[in-house]
This record gives sequence, structure tokens and C-alpha cells, in this order.
Amino acid sequence: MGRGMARHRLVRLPTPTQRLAPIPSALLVTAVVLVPLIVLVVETVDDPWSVWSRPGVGRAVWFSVWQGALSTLATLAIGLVPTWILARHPVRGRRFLMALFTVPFVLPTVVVGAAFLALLPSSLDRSLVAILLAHVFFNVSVVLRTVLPVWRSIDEDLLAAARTLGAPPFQVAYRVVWPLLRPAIVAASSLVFVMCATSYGVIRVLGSGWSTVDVEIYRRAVALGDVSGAAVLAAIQALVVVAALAVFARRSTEWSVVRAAPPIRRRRLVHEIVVWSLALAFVVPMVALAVTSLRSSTGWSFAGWRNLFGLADSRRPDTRIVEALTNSLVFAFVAAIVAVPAGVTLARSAARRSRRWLSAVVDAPIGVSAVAVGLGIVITYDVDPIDVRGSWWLVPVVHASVALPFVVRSAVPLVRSIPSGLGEAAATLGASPWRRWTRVEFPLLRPAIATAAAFSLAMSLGEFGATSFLTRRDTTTLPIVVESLLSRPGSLSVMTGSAAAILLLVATAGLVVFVDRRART
Amino acid sequence: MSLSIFDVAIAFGDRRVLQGETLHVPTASILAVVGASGSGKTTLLRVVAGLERPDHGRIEIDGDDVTDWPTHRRRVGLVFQDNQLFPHLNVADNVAFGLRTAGWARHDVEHRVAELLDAVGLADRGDQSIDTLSGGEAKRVALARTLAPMPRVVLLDEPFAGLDDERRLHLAGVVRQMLHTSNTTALLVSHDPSDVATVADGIHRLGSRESVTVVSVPVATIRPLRREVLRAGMTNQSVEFDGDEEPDTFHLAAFDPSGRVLATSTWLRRDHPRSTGPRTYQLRGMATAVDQQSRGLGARLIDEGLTRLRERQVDVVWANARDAALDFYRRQNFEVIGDGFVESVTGLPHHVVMRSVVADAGDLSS
Repeated sequence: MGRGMARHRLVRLPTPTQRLAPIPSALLVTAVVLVPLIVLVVETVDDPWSVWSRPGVGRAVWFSVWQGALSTLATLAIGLVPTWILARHPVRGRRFLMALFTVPFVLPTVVVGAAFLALLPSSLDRSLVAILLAHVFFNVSVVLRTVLPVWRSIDEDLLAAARTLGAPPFQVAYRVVWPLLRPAIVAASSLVFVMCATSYGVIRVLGSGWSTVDVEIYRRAVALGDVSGAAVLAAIQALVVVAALAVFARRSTEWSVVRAAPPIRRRRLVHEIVVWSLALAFVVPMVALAVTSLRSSTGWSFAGWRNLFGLADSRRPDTRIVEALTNSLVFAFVAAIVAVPAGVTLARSAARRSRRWLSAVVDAPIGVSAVAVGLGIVITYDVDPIDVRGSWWLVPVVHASVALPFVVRSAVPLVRSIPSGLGEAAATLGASPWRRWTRVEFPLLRPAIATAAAFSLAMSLGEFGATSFLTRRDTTTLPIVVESLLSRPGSLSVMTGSAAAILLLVATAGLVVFVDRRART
Repeated sequence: MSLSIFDVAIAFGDRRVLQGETLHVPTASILAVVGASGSGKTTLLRVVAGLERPDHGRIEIDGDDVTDWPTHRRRVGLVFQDNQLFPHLNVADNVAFGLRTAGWARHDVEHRVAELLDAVGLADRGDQSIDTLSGGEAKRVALARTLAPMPRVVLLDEPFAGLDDERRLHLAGVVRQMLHTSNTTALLVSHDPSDVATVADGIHRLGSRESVTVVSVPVATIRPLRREVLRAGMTNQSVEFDGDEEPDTFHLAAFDPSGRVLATSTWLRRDHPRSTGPRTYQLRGMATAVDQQSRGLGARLIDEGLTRLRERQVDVVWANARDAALDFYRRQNFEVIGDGFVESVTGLPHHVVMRSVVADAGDLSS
């Protein structure tokens, strides 16, 4: 923010290496997401216009739009309250609160679905209210991560200046705070809208009877065998989402790690009551999930947990679960090996100069239906010598590209906070390029790398949509198992599913909280 | 539009920042508050603006007790040390901000903004972003923004910090000019004595426990004050001196916190047979209110006058002193010169007294 002093900085043109560095990452996304989508459309679609007249399509599009809008409004209404309090007021336990409110975004959709299933009375189960609540729970963290750093960066004295110029509180809010927050709020809203309108896992678990476009793509492709209809919907959705993100969310969806101290103000009990009540509301679904995992039809029991770790004394021990757990861990690890270098390279390039075509390509996985990705890959890469459908590394590579937009978002602010010129300083002190990399640049990048790794691991552990298409019996992952256990009748499978969901929750939340904390120090 | 601060105290936790500060800024005067960094200068301004609540004491503007008024109703302008220009508004919209909150008509807003930007020398920069401004330009925009809605009191927090000498001198000229032509009452905070000399009419040292404020006042103000002090309210005698309006003349007045005048004096460029030339001044109209005698106010005025004479590189100051006042002048290191005489206006016996401005002792024999 301008503080009066003119800042004229000479920016050198990027060197060829810097210019070409993001290319491999872009190619990865192109190969994994864009090419399959295009092939899918080209191979299967003869008459794209007829799709609209098919039953259910119009309804799904309309539901995506209005449900997305409603979810976004609800998320803003609820999310801006803790954002405001945590940005502007001292509150006891702020670090815990920040972690609690920022973590749900990385939670697996099936876990959130399972948590709300466990929490809500059966009358609200699988209803619109349940869907809205789950979306709010998820996306408050998007609002917090995007808006809070901007809100906190507003100098208290700037508001004081407005007051000395005669502005009453309402005018200070309307004429100073709102214009400064608007870009961040618009960016957050557009991302939240996209996430809710393209919601898949939550609807699959919670919303029988309701269909978003993503769910409709799945229904057409899998239940109805209408692959061409699914392809058309996927292509249109991808175009709309990428265009929308490019227009509305291009600048401010960087997720800063907040360093600045809050303004010195007196602590107010009312703020603490409000923010801690909301925190409680965020904890309740997770507690409900834990309770469900321990509650059988006859009483309390560890049967679900024993079953999860293959210790079940049931007649048909479910070996699938232990395998899924191992697979999930291996996939997450491999995905991180791909996504971290790609994400940090992209973040370094974006921190220097934002390039719209690049961010549009990298954001494509947000907009492209995971179902379409899965389906497209199956159709595209089925010819020798590129028949990779059976390769063990296919799933983690897909995970890596699905996680990439969020890995980049989380790493950009950390990369940007690295002071420039230190490498040059080291060079003048006689350090060789290798030494500069190992002694200066890598240590400085470490927080960005750690955060990128945490996001990549968490998102891979939780990925559901694309995985559900690409897994075979021997490569199933934990989220797939959770979904199938929860949709099966019987209290043991619900208990086991809930226990698995808890495991996922602890792993993903733990990763991100731990790394966020490390990156801050 | 005078400002009075009575016994204001504030503490942040255990740290006591202001401990019973009292001062008065007379209408249309600029008072400088000086003190070491961390002595609470900025806090004092924030208390006056209503941005901090004092633990004790009260603030009056023109006799209104505004201590409990919210900031936006006080009409107190504050030029922040770091300007705090609105980053989302261009230069003209920054200046217009206070006018719009006050509900000015669009045409009047445009007119007033143009007038102020012209006054600060940025007439053609109105539609530029504030990122394009240099440090000095940003300060001038902040000044224009503060003065635009015609506040009752203007507060300036280290207005010249961070500028090089040339810009600082130029800006000081602009500030003084703008405050004086608009007859604005102002309180200025600084750690640099040279700022104070170029801009302010008087100085208040923070934490000095000095409740009397001495400021130089314009000729239109000094005359009624003289009537009150020198002539003890008598209306039949003239309060006009020869040379009152000469550009080299300055008038000092001492006020108590409620704004009552306690003592006055006038300093003019006048030769004496023993010392001629531009480096000789005469002190006239030196008087203290009847009920304020022997509080050291006379000595205070003479100290302040001598400080200003030193800035003007004056060597000698002299006065026609009533015989009853000779002891007072002797205590101030004046020396009695030649024979006494009877002054025609008052009919009282007088002596000429004289002292060197530079030296502390009244050694004029050389």
C-alpha cells in the first residue's frame, strides 16, 4: 500500500531460465487435465446442443448456480465475522482459532460430508441445509486466508485519519475499509462460488436428490452411460470456471501467512464470546464424527477402529482398508515429490510477475470436473505405447495436478517475502552457484517448500473425485473407502467409515497446522 | 477557535505517558510542543483529536468541553506523521474526503479542492495516484486534506520529519502561510528546535509543569490584550504604540490554560543614542495583570523575547522603565543608563535600562 513515498524500482527482464522454469509445471497440468478433457470432448461428442434437452441437465446447472450463490453468501456472512475479529482485535487463543478456521479447506470432502452426516438429525440428513452448512464449514477458511491479511494490513491510523476528517463509524467502514477490502472479498467470493458450484464429494455423501453439474457429469458418465453428455458439461464448466477465476480472482487469492501483530486495542469480551462460539460450531461436527466412530447400535465400542486397522474379529476381515491406508500414504508422498518442485517453481515465477495465461492453466484443475479428468485419462491414454491406465503412478500424478493451484497459492506469499539480492550478495562474497543454492536460496525457500508439501500431502490424502475413476481394486485410497463404507448399511461399516474419516482428518489438519506454524517462525 | 488542555494524564498499562499536561493555544496561533522522543508528544495530539481517551483531565475547544466527544464530531484536523493518505483515492479525492463527510455540494467541493491544491503547489496533480507523490508532496496533500473542511483546530505530528533541509524550509513556509492566512489555531509536535523557530508562535515543553503559555500574537490581537493588562481595562487610554505594525515588531502574550491573558510585551526595532543600527531593539508595554504579580511572568516574557532577539541576531535591547520597575529590570540583568526623566504620557519618573542580548550579564561598558 502506498505510503506516500514514490517507489520506482527497476525490474530486470527475466533470464531465459527464469522464463522457461514454469513450463514443465504447465505441461504437467496440460497433460493430466487439459488434454484428457479435450480428447474426451472430441472423441465422444457429435451434437453438443442436444445435451441441454436431456433430463436433469438444466436442473443441475440451475442448482449449481443458485446453490453456489447461496453458499457463497452464507460463507461470507459467517466467515467475515471471525475474519474481522481476528484481524482487528486481540483475542485469547488466537493461534488455535486461526488454525481451526483455516484448516477445514484442506479436509477431504468425504470427511466433511461424513462429519455433517454424523452431526445432523436424520430429518436434516442429506438435505439442502446440510449441504449449505458443509460448504460454509469448508470455505470460511478461504475467506479467512484471503481477506484477513488485507484487513490486518489496514493501518489503524488510516481509519483514525478518516475520523478526524469527520467520518462517523459507518462512513469509515463504507468509504475506507470496504474499498480496501473489496478486491480480496471479490476474489474470495469467486473462489468460494466456484468451489461450491462444482462441489462433488460433499453432495455425493450428503445430498441425495440434489445434483450439481459435477454430480450430473458423474451420473451421466457412470449411471446413464451418456459419456458425450458428461464431456460437454465438463468442457463448458471448465471454460466458465477458468474464465471466472481469471477475471475475478487473479490477484488476491494468495494465501498469506500472517506475521503482523494485531493493532493494540483493549480486549473485549464480546469479541471473544462471538469468535469462540463460532469455533465451537466448527469443532462440533468433528466431535460428532468421533462419537459416531465409537457408537455401535448396542453401545460404545472400538469395533470400528479395530476393523480399520485390520484387527477385526468379524467373519470377513476387510483387508481392503489397510491396503487403502498404505496406498493413500504412498500416493500422497509421490504426489508431493511432483507437486512441490512444480508448485514452488510456479510460485517463484508468479511472485516475480503474474502471467495470466499461466495462472489460467494452473487454475484449470479447480474448474475441470475431477470426474471428467478421470474419464478423460481413461479414454486418452489407452493406446500403446502410452497406455498408462494401469501404472501405479497415475493416481499420484493426478493428485499432484489437482493440488497444484492450492500449493501455488499457499507458497506465493512466502516466496515473495524472501528479500531479493541475497544471492547476489553471496556471489560478491565469492560463493559459487551451487553454494549459493545450498547455502542461501534453498534455506530461504524452506518455509515455502514446507507449506507446499503440507498442502500437497493433505490434498492428495483427501482427493476423491478423480481417484474414484482411476482406482482399481488394488489401488484404492482411504477417501474412496470412507465413501463406500458410509453408503453401506450396518452400524459397523458406519463406525469404520467414521473412524477412517477421523484418521484422514487428523492427518490432513495436523500437516497443515504443523507446517503453518513452522513457516511462521 | 482557541484550544485548552487541562491537566491531561494518560497511561498505557504501567507506562505513564502524560502526567498532568496543561496548555493553551490562543485563537489563530501556532503552538509547538517539544520534548524528547517517547515523551508523549504524539499521544497528546491523539488525546486532543479524541483518538485516545485521557485517564484524567479535559480538553476544551472554544470553551466547549469536548473530552467526551467522538473524534468525528470534534472538527479537529490531524496531519499524521506518516500522512495516512487513502491509498484507494487519488490526490483530489483525498483532499475532498472531509468535505464529502461534511456534506458539501459537489460544486463547492471541486472549488475548495482546487483552491487548496493550488495553495500547496499541486494544482495540476489532482487526478494522480498518491503513489506518484514524493515525501514532501505527500505531506502537502495531507496538509491540504486536513485544512479543507476548515477544522477548528489543526494538529501536526512532526510535519517536517524525513525531509532534506531545502524541502523542509520550503514546507515550513507553506505550513505557516496556510495556517496564518486561514487564521487556524494549531498545535505542532516536533523534536527539532529549528522547525519550531520557523513555524511556531510559541513553545510548550512537555512535562515542564508550566501551565502558562507564551506566544507571539498579531497586532490586532495584542491591542485588546494590552487594554486588559497594561491599562487594567481602562478604555480612555490609547493602547496603540508607534511602530506596532512595523514588520520587524513582535508582540508576546502570556495566557493561562483557560485563555485569560496574564502579561504582554512588545518588541520593536528602535535605535538608542548609545546603540544604533538594526541590531538594537526597544521593549515596550511590558505589563503583568495586577493579580498575577511576582509569579515570574515578566521574567518569562523577557526570556522568550530574548530568545527571539537572538534568532534575529540582535545585540542590544533597551526600555524606558518606571522607577518602580527598576528592581525588576535589574534582576533581569538590565543596567540603568544615564539620568532619570519624567515621561510625558504617564507623568511618572522613568529611567532608561539596557542589556546585551547575547551575554547573560548586562555588561554594556565597552
